[in-house]
Amino acid sequence: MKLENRLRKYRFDHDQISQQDLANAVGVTRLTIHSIENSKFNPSTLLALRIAAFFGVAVEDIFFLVSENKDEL
Amino acid sequence: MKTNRALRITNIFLGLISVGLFIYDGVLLKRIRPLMETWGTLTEHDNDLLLLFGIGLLVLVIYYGLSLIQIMRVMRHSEKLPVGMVLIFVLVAVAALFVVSVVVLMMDINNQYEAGFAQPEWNLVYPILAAQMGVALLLLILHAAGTFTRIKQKAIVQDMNIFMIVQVVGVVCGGMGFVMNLLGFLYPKSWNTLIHTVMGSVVMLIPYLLMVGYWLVMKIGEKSKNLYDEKQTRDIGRSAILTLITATVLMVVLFITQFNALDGVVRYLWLPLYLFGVIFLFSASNLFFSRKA
Repeated sequence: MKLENRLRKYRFDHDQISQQDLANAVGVTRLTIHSIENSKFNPSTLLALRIAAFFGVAVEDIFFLVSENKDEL
Repeated sequence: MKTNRALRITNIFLGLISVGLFIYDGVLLKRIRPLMETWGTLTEHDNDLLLLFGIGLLVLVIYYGLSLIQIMRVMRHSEKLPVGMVLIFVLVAVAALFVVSVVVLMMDINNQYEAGFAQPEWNLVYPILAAQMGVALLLLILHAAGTFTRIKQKAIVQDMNIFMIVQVVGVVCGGMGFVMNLLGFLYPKSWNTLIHTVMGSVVMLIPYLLMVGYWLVMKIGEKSKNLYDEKQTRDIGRSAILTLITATVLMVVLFITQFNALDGVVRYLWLPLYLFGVIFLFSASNLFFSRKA
């Protein structure tokens, strides 16, 4: 199982907010946002909730699980 | 902004003085070198002139130090870490470390002169001074062009750039300190514990410690109460385990290879080798993991 996200889409739908502005809003570095967007880093529950709260949506709207092989899910 | 402007003016002023003093150094050494190489007598006046040479090096260190502070201030608020700026930062930091090498070389030359020996160190003094003048001139041009005051800055809550710069400085200082102490194995007979190991190691550690201190002070002033954000915490964890394993292997290799000479230079070189090795490995792996995204 792998955690994927629609963070980039939400950023662009949200007045094309920059990674730095989002990072400032949720209290992390720009690199962390960049890594999450590229699925190189899985955020903590707290950070995922903060990001979701910032966009005013549920966590599941932004983050979702995808199966890495056919046997899963 | 006012601080940046004040720093810029101060640095231009110090840069001009430094370049002027380099010209003075060139004229002075042209006179002093043949005198010392033929073991002629240095007059009181010559010693006074050499004192100004030393003061010039002090001015240069202050110039480099203030320039580094200004570059750091600019990089801290840059949206992305400017690679060119990082390279200039490293160049100036290395040049600042090499000022100490000039002092050590001049001390060695003086000792050789007083003991009546040849002074081959002169061949190293000139290229180092020429390189220093090149760096001082480059900085002066950049300060005059306003390179360090024009970058677009943005407010940040969690700092990333200083953290990265600390790692870059760690790689430079750790690497140089490690290589420097490794020379003790190559030239054990001419190795001086106090000058080469203790003084050299302290000089190599100072920029790293200053950077870590600066980063800590900046962290305290930030809105966020965490020292690291969560990705940095993960990266540091990875770096720590990598450093632990590699450093342990290196120390075991050092112990085995030196087993029959444990009363030699390794008796006191193991600590700086370990210290600088760990700083280098930890900083390099932090840089690697941070950028790997």
